[in-house]
This record gives sequence, structure tokens and C-alpha cells, in this order.
Amino acid sequence: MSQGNFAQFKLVLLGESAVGKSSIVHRFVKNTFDDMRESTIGAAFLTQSITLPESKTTIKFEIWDTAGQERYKSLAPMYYRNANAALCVYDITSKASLIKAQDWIKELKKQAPEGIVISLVGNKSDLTENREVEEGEVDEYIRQMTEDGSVIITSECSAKTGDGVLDIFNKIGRALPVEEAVGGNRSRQAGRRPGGVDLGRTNRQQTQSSSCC
Amino acid sequence: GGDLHQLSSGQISKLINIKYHGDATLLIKQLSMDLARKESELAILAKEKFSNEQRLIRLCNEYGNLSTLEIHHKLNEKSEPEDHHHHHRWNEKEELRDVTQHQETGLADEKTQPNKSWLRNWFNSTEDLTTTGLTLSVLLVSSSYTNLVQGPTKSYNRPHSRSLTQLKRAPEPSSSTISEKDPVEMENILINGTYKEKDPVDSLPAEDLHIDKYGFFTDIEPIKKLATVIRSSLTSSDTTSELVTFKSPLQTIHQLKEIGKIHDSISLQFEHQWEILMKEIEKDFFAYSKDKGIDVGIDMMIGMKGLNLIELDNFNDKGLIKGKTDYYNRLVNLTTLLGIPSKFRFKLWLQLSGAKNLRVNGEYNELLNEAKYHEGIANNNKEDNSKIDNRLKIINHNIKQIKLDLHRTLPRNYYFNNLIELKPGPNYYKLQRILYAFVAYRPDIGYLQGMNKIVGNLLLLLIKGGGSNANLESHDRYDEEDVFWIFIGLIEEILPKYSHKIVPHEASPSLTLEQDESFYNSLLSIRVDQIVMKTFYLDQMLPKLSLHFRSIGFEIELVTMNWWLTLFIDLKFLDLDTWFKVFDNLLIGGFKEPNSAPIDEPQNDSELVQHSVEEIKKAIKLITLTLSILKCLEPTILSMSDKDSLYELLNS
Repeated sequence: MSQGNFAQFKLVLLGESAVGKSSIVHRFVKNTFDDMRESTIGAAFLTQSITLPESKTTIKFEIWDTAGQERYKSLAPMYYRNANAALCVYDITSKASLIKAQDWIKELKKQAPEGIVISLVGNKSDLTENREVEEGEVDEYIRQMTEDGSVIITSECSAKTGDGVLDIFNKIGRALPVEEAVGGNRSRQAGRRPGGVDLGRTNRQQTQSSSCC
Repeated sequence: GGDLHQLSSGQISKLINIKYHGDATLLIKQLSMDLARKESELAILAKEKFSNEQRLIRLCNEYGNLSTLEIHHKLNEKSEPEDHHHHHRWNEKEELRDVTQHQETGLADEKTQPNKSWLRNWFNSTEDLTTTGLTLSVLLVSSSYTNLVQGPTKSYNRPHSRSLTQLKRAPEPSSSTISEKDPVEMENILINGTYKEKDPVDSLPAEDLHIDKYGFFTDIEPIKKLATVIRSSLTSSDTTSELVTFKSPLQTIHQLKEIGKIHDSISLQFEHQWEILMKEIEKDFFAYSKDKGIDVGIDMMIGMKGLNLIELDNFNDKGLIKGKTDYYNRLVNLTTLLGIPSKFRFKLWLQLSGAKNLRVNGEYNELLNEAKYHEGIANNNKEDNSKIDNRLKIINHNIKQIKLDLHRTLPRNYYFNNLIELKPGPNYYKLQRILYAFVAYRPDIGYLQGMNKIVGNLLLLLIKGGGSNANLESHDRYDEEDVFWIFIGLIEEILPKYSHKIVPHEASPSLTLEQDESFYNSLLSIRVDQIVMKTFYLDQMLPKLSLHFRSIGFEIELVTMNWWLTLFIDLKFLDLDTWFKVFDNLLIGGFKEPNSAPIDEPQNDSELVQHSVEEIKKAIKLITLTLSILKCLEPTILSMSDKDSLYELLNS
């Protein structure tokens, strides 16, 4: 591992309340599922690393898990600012939550940093009997988006059983411009590229933050 | 015949001839039976020893946070009517005695050895537990429940538990049948006889399903243990290091007792001061209201934010009845030092928050009825949304979100989530009613995630014995309605409001009006305040921290947003007792400066300016509390150079 590359990326989770954003994160970070999870307020922060064998790269995700209530929407830019990836989560048993997730994608396209890797994730895939969102429906949406030139990673998972969770993060990891981030700068820090996490840019980020809202 | 080995072979054969009629097998059987008896005694002793160790650990765990007063209270509460607690609670008095006896008689010196390392492991492993603990604890809980249902006998699930129970049921020595005990098993026990303790969590007995004084299932929250360690490092780094590197359980108990004594003497002293203050105020207030000819109940003597005391001080200052007093500042001083004693806490909260002034009798029930009525309508005609008026729509929208959050509020607390009977606890419904009533009271504010946590934790002050000692006045006469009004007080009087510019007429956009919006309607303004806090106050008051944050690229406003929205309850290193103290401080104003004008005298400034000054003061209060907490954490934060772990510490 010490021979491999290291890159750090900021990832944000967005989506309607109670679709299971925090559960996905905890499955990914701690490999646990807790049905006594408290609702997230504001946002929570966690980190986890994965290693991509093909490029021998370790990717550390800085994860911002945001609160789902609609009223927190105005705070979202605070968390997706400088994000390299976004997980827009819906609940396969709720059609309304898919629409919310698509709204988030729309907003990210407009507001988020260019080149952000977006994924549309359907959680609770274990609850097949209550399914409201068919996979074909999502595929159709993705096809449209692709025609418009937007690449969106799509996947279903179950934070409860763990099915497909790691897969999502691996897919995102592969889609991230790892080479670019590592290239030319093999230190522990990520490289200097737009959207990449660069400690040297902190000051500018701060001034941005004070004027942005 | 325990000394047979000292006899010569000739003597033995003689013995066999005389006593066993020449049948050597009889002697062997006799010996093996004796051995079995001894073995079972040994096993029982070892079992006792083991459970004593377990109890001790739990005592250390539970009472490490309690003062001796509280411990005495706990010891004496055996006859408490709430028996849920006691199904699975040990008789602590006996525990302490047992434990000390065993330790003092040095029952087995060699056994204190594993004990020691085991305890230390337990402390050291708390950190690992936070990462791996969740699955473990969930497993633990489920097994504890089944055990609980099936009774306490099945409590040991260590590898050799079977042999233990077998031994317990070993035949009476007097019976003629000879024990068929497999000697190998005995050897096993003797060889592993030190009862090496594995992971203590792994081997907790069923009785260990453990609920703390506020109803939290502590077993399934290993994170709480970590929190305890962090918190004690906040308050006194010296004692913590002693605690972590302690030598033996007995010594730890001793240390805990010492700490408890210090804690108690300080609290008693403070409580005494509080009592004196309250009595003095009461007396003066009586004289004051008599003189003024006003009929105000004694429960209004402190007033919102303690402002009535300023009036009382001013009155006394004029010397009509009494000389100069300084009640307001004394109250502020006592509160900032150690918080309000639990004896007075809720009573004072009602006044300080302004709940007393805002409360309208009967309104709570009316609001509740309205909310329930709306909920009923919404459930009945889901399709016909057009008919529903706007107010109803808003209320229903909020109720929907509340429903999503109810079971996600304090799910590890017995009073919210009764895991034993797998049903919601009483506070679940109280929380629901309060939040419902709130959205009916202020549909313009509505429900925002975070309110659930604040109200939920406020409710915990009212549980029987919660936060109050046995000999102190119970909180029985207060109920959810009081919590509701305290929450209203928070929003109306304590939390800052932000003025927003609005354009009343679209035709003339230059004509703008300033309108106050509640704290919860002003997320973006809160954010601005926090940026101000960071760039101005943090820089001035805690320059080292400010510099550190900047150098590692840590953005404090990303975490303080949660702090404010939950009024700091979301901080995992603050336990409930500490949070109550934070809350005490939130409710009081600052010290009154000696020469400042009396608060009720109109000043030259316009009403509008005056008004916004008040609101700014409220925001300053939140900033002050935030900086205080950061100040407490300063050494820890400065030692962390990785921004990610800092985010995780302060916000996850």
C-alpha cells in the first residue's frame, strides 16, 4: 500500500428524509446497520478509504452526510461546496423520493463544482414487495441524462443487508479523476486540480464561504 | 482422607483392608467423590468471584459518573415502584460489600492479576469499541433480552459455562451413587482455573442490561464510555490520567470515592448558597410586591432571564425597605459556576425561559386537539388535497416529518423506546404531542429536525429520579405541558430572531419592511452569525484555535451549525447532566454592569435599534457558549493536526 497512490475526495450525500443516507454511510464506514439510528441534524461527517486494485490507489472519502428535511435544503451548498462526488439517494419504495433525488441532481448540475461525479442510488433494495420505483424507470432517466451529456452512476443497494453498498463507492472511486489528483504530487495530499482537495486552497475557500450566503 | 499421600504403601493397604474390606476400588471411588465435591465448591467460588468482578466493573462504569450522594440514593432505591429497573439490577449494597470483602481477604491473589489487566483492557478498548462495538452491542442486547425473558439462570455464555452448571447440579456427596464426572473436565477447569476473562462485553450476564438514571441503555452505547473519557479529560486532566492507569479495582473505587467526596462537598456548598439566595429573594419579593401593591405569585420572582431580580435590586437600591442587594448578579454568578441545582432546575427554567409569562392555561390541549383533528382529516381524504386550507396543509406537512423522526429520537432511551417490551416508551408520545401542539401553535415556524432532540432531552429532566436526588423535591408536579411552554419560551425569548427585509407591495419595491423571523426560519442568517463568530470572535478570544483551524483547513461553521440547531445536545461528548448545565446558562442573561441604566428605562435610541440590540445579545449568548465549549476542548483540538478527525470528533 505504501507504494500506491493516495488521493482524497470530498463526497456529499443528499436526498429526502429517511431514505437511508446515514445508514448507507454507516454500512460503508463501519459495516454495521443500526435500526435505532437517530435522524441527522445539519450534517454529519465520516471518513472511509477504499483501495482500487487496478490503479493501486487508495482513495479516502471525506463524507458529509446531510439532513434530509426539505427545510435544510438551503444549507446544502455549504456541504457540497468543493465536493468531488455526490450520492443522491432515494428509497425504492417511494416514488416521491426519486423525484427529490432528481431535483438534487438538477441542483448539483447548476451549482456544484464542474466535474463532480454524481450517482443516483436507490436504497432499501431488500424491500422488494413495497417497490414503487422500477429499475427501468431509472434507466430511462439515466439515458435521457446521458443524451444531455451528463454521466450519472446509478445503482441500487440495501444498507440493511449491505448489498451493493461497497460497489457504489468503488464505482465512484473509479469515476473520480484519481490520476489527475495524484499526478505530479505524490505526497499525502491530493493534487492541485479543480475540485480536488487541496489544503493550500483553504484560505480562498474561507473567503468564498463568508461571501457565499 | 486428604493426607493419604503422606502414608506409606503398607499403611494404605492396611487402611484398604480395614476400612474397605480389601476392595481398593472403593477407596478410589471415595477419593474421586471427595475430589468432585471439592471441585464443585471451587467452581462455585470461582463463579462468585467472576460475577463479583462483573459487578465491580459495572459499578465502576456506572458510578464513575456519580457522586457519593447519588450512589447512596441508588443503594437506597431498592423499594422503588418502577420495577423494570430492578428485574435486572443487582443489589448494589451487597455488591460493594462482597467486592470489598473479597478483595480485602485476598481470596485469591493470583486472580487479581487477570483482573487488573482485564480492567485496563476494558478502558483501553473503549476506543476500539466505538468502531466495532455496534454489531457487538446489538448482538449483546438481543441476547440479553432473551435471557431476560427466560430468567437469569442462563446468563453465562462463556465456553465453560456448561461445566459450571453441571457442577452446580453435581450429586450430593452423601448420595451412594458415585460421581461420574469426567476427570478431564476437572483438569480443564483447574488448568484454566484462573478464569481468564475474555472481552468483558462478551461475557456480560443478562442482568447487565443496564439503564442509567436518565433511561439510556448504556450497554449498547459503548460510545458513551468514550464520551466519559473525553469529558473527564475536559474537566480535569489530572484525575483522568490517574483513572486510566489505575492499579487495582479497589484503588479505583477509592479514587472514585475521593473524587465523589470533593464533588459532593462542592455541590453541597453551592446548593446551600442557592438555598440562601432563593430564601432571601423570596422574602424581599414578598415585601416588594406588598409595597407595590401588585399581586404576583412567588413563582414569578425570578422572571424571564432573571430580569425581575434586576427590578428587585433596583427597588432595594432605593432603600425603602432594605439596603442594596445584588440578587441578579448572584444568580448569574451561581449559574455560570456550576449550573442550577436539580432541586431548583425545572422551576427556574419555567421562569427563566419566559414560559411562565407565555403560558395560557388550556391552550396546549386546544392546540393538541387541532393538530390531531387535522391529522385525522388528512388521513381520511388523502386524495382531495384541494379542499384543504393552507394552514391545515402546513400542519400536515409538518406532522408528516415529525412522524418520520419520532422513532429516530433518543432510540436508545428506555423512556422513548422500550426495548424490553419492544414498544415506544411514554416519552415517545409526549414528544409527539408537544411537537404536534407546536406546529399548530406556530405553523409559520413549523417543525425543524433538531427540535425533536431538544424537546426529547428536556423531557428527560422530568422522569422519576432523573437528575434529582432521592431527598430532593420530585418533579412530579411538572409535565409535558410545562416542557411545551419552555420550548415556546426558547423560541420567543431566548433564541435570536433575525429580521428579514420584505417587500409588502410588489408595485413599490423600494418600500421594504423589516420583519422578524424565528431562529428556525433563519438558517442562512445563523450561518452568517457563525461566520462572524469565526472571523471575529474566535480570532479575538481564542487566537490559538483560530490559527490552528486555519492552518489545517478546518471550517468550524460546518460543525457549529449542528451545535446551534440542537442547542449543543448533538455533541456526543456532552452528557445529559452537562447539557442541562449548558441549558441553564443559555437561559440567563449576562452580568449586569454596576453603572448601566435600569433595563426598563427607555433610552434615546429608537425602539427599533433597542429591539435589534436585544436580538444581537441573544446571538452573542450562543456564540459565548460555543466559544466556551471550544475553550474547554482547546488542548484536545490543538493536539489534533488532522482536520478529518477533528470533524469526526466535533460532528459525527
